[in-house]
Amino acid sequence: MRRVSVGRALLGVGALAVAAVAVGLAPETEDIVRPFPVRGVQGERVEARTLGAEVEGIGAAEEVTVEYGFAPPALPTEGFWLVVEATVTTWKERQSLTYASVRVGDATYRTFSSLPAPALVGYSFDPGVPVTGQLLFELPDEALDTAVAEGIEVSFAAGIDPRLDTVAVVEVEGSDVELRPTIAIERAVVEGRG
Amino acid sequence: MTESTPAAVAAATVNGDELPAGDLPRRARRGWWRRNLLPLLVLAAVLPATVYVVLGLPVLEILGREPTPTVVPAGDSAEAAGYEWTVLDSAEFVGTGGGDGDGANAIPLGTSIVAALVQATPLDGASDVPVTCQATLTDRGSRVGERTWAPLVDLDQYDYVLGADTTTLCDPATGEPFVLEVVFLTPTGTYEGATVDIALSASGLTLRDGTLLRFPLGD
Repeated sequence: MRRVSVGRALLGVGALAVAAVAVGLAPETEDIVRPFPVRGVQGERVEARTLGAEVEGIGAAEEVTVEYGFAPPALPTEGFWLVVEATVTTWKERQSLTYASVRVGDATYRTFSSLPAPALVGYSFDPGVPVTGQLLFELPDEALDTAVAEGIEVSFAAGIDPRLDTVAVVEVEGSDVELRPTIAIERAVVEGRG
Repeated sequence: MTESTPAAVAAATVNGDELPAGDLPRRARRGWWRRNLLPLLVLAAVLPATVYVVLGLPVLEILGREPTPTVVPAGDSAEAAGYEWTVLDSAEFVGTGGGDGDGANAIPLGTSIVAALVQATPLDGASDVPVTCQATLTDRGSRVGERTWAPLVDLDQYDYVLGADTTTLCDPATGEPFVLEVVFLTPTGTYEGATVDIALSASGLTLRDGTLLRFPLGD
C-alpha cells in the first residue's frame, strides 16, 4: 500500500478547509445579480443608467381619488396609500417605468399598477422629455409609524429587468409623511422646463 | 547511483536502440509529435470552433440585426419595398408651454414637435409581398450617445393637426401611393442633425431581410 506523508495529508485537509470557507463566504445568487443603487435625496435628480428620477413630494392618505380617465373615482384600502410625486426622464430610447418600489423598514412594496393611462407607471417616456406624475403604493397600517420614524426609499428603474443594472434610489425624510383623509391623483404630464 | 553527464545523455537509447550523439533531439521531437498527434488534431478543431461560437456568433448576430442604412440626402429619393421614398418637408415646432399670443402652442417648454412628410410612390411591377414599415427619429450627437424616438400617438394633447392628405400609418402592402406624416416629441434642439429612419422588413420580425432608409433633417 502506498504511504502518504503527513505533510501531504495536512495540505489536503487545509485545501478542503479553505474551499469550505470560500463556499461559505460566497454571495447568494440574488446578491450577485442585485441592482446597483444610485442614491440621492428628495428634491434632487438621481441619474441611473436608463433614467433620471426626482421625488418632489410625498403624502399618505386613507383613500385616493382618481381625477381622470376611466377608473373608479375613489380607491379604498385596508391600510393606507403612500403617494409619491416624481419626475422621470429616460435617456436613450422610448421606455416605460417598469419597476418602482418603496422600502419601509425591512419591507419593500411594489407600485400600484392599475391607474388609468396616462400614469407614471406604464407611461412611454420619450428620451430627454421629463414627465411628472404620481406613484401609488398600498401599505399596511403598521408601516406608517416605521415610515415616519425611519423615512423611506423610493426606487425607479426602466427596462424589463433591473437586475445587474443601476436603479435610482431616492431617500425621503419620514417627517414629510403625514396621513390625510384623501389625496387626488392627476394624470401624468410632460414637465415643461424653460 | 549513476551520475548524469553530457556523455551519458549523448549515449542514451530510444526504444532500446542506442542513438548516436546529435540524433536524440531530432528523434525525440519527432516522437513527441507522433505521440501527441491526436490531441493536437482535436485541439486544432475545437479551438477555432470555440472562438467562433463564443465570439463569432454574437458578433455576426449583432451585425446582422440591421442592414447598413441607405442615407438619402435632402431632395433625393430611394427605392425600397416596391416604393420610391422621398422626404417632402420637415420642421421643428418649438414648445411655448401654452399661452394666447402669436406663435403660442400647447407643446411643453423645453420640448419640440419634430415632424416630417415622407412621400411613398409605388414602382411599376412592384411585388405585393407584405412589408412592415417602422419610422423612428434618431439623434447621434447628444452627450448620452444615440437617442431614438418613436412616433407620437396622441397628437391632440399638443394641438397638432395632421395634413388633410397624409397618414400616420405606414403600410406599403397596399400598393397605393401615400404621404406618411411622422411626428415626434423631443427636447428642443434635436431637429438639426437628426434623421428619420424608415425600416422596411418583409418578415416583420427583424431587419435582416429588410432595408433601412435614413433621411437627414435640418440644414
